Amino acid sequence: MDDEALLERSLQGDPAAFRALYDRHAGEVYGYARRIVGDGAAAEDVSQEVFLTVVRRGSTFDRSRAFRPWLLTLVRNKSIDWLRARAKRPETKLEGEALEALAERAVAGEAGEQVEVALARLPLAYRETLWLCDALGLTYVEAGAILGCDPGTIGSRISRGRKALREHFSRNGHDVR
Amino acid sequence: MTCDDLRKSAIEGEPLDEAARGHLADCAACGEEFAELRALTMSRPVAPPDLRERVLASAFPARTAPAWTGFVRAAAVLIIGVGVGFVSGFALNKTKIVEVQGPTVTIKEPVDKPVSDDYVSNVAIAAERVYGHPPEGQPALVDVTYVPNSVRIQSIVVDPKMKDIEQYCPVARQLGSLAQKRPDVVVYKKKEY
Repeated sequence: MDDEALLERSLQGDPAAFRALYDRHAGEVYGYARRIVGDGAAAEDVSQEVFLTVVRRGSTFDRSRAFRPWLLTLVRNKSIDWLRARAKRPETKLEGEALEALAERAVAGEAGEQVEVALARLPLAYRETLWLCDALGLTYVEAGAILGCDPGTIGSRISRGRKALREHFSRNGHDVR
Repeated sequence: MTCDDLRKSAIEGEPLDEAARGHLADCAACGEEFAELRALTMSRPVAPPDLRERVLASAFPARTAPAWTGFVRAAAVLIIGVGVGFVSGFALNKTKIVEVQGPTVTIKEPVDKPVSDDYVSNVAIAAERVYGHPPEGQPALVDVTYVPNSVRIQSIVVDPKMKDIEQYCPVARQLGSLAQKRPDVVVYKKKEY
């Protein structure tokens, strides 16, 4: 059953359909949220909000469009809301320290942690563009629709983001091949 | 293998086969891109297992009996049969049979208010009878107001909760239908409790 049919059944109150929809997309919802907010607990909160919005406001979804880009747009909007709310809280100042701590763990850590650090150091625009296109496999047009920019901008962000990642890997002697 | 094939397999985290290795050796562009793609796919965060339970519990909370289910039960006592009904006339202080279009609503009690012999009044009487006199401490889900010194209905204010029970209750369904035909009379409005 495709996403749109599962959504339809979820909106009719079918928990099994909603569970299937969750299982299919939870990974990329959580992953994308985490790439934007940079924090696991916050990404969980954002993911929960996203799925609740799906089941409560799914009727606003335009049936002529694909479900996945709509879902990822929701993730982005909720994550940005979370970042804005965090900016108003005093603990925002700790972000730099948290990043340094992550970097320290990554020195002796696995490749995954190295990538976490490399991504965390990228500006948000590059980070999420790389994630959408290179980790989730969206086309430049699809990513552009979610991020609100044209495919040319997506291309240049991808190019700069990849360069920054390569430099980071090179500096840290990290080979992922 | 094409650049797109290699990109797809890198994004999907597939192991490199001979064809992929061959392509990587020959294509400088893919060679540069592949390490970064591989790194990103290796770092895909995994949603915590307990998140699933939390999300599902929030989206479909365990059903508890809301206050209005008592009303639905009361309505069930008053609602007899389902069929195509009609608007019946009735007069003051007699045993009334209130029937509304669609599922039949029958109320076997005297109507103690002067009402006119029209569809709006019939629906209003049925709705007020079932949902307008809740047990003490519970809010009325339907408030009917009459035009002063008249038998005409001025307004039927309906709590939006009634929308939730339309599939079970003909009275609620009739209110929804009437709201579409007579928005000047039927108003859905959340009440301040």
